[in-house]
Amino acid sequence: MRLRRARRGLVATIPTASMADIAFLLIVFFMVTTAYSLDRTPMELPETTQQEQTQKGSAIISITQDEVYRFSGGEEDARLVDGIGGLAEAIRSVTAANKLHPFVIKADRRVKYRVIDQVLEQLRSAGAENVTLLSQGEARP
Amino acid sequence: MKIARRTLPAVIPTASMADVAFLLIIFFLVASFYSVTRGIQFSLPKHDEAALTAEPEAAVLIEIAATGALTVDNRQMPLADLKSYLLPKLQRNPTKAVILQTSLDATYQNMTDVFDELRQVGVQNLVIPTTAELEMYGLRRLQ
Repeated sequence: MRLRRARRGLVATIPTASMADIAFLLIVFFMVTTAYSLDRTPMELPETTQQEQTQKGSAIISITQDEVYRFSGGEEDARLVDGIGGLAEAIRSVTAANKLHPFVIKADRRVKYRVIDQVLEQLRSAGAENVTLLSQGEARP
Repeated sequence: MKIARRTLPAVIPTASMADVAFLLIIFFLVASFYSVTRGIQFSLPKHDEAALTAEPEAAVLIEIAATGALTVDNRQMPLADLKSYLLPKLQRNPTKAVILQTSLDATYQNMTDVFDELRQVGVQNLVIPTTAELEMYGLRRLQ
């Protein structure tokens, strides 16, 4: 008598159940590490080789090439301010609450130093101490 | 005759979950590349008359002209030579004051170029006087 082997059909599967878990884990990682820019004004930042990470929640002073000032206290989106006078007022409102509040100057590289000088003077007279000049990385020669 | 009832297993379709998740990953990846959050940091010193009016030997005075040309301690100097000029001075005195005066008509990039070099050499005591400050102490401002 011929014995008939019962054939167990093995189905080839790739276990994908945990794929979604891994993917969500990565999502959470990127969500936490992504810092949204409060100011999205397009401009050409100066290039520097030395760079440090800015502190989260820093107040942002944005200056475009045509000398339009925008300001953000660090939590809300940047808003237009009325010239250097409006900027000085906005800076004072931040330093009045906390003198150690970090500031970030995001200025176009073609802006005249005259403008930066005025902004630095306003920061200094308002008592701000911690300032970062936002820049983009430059390939080390 | 008895009809056999087919029982349908309860399943949640999760096949596309990973696709959605990877799509979100790519979004956050791209978003994290686009946000610029780096720069050169410095502490704005308080009005420091001592550093500003220091004797010429006590501090290094760097002037940036409107064209971007450098004058270091009243001598013309290309940007590439700044490091080698400052390094021995800083080795002797790590807290040596460096005063950076930029012409008001120079560009912001001219100033950050020099600032970048100074940070690379490790200048700790950097003074960036503003026009108002220079006027206060009766010092001249570059034109």
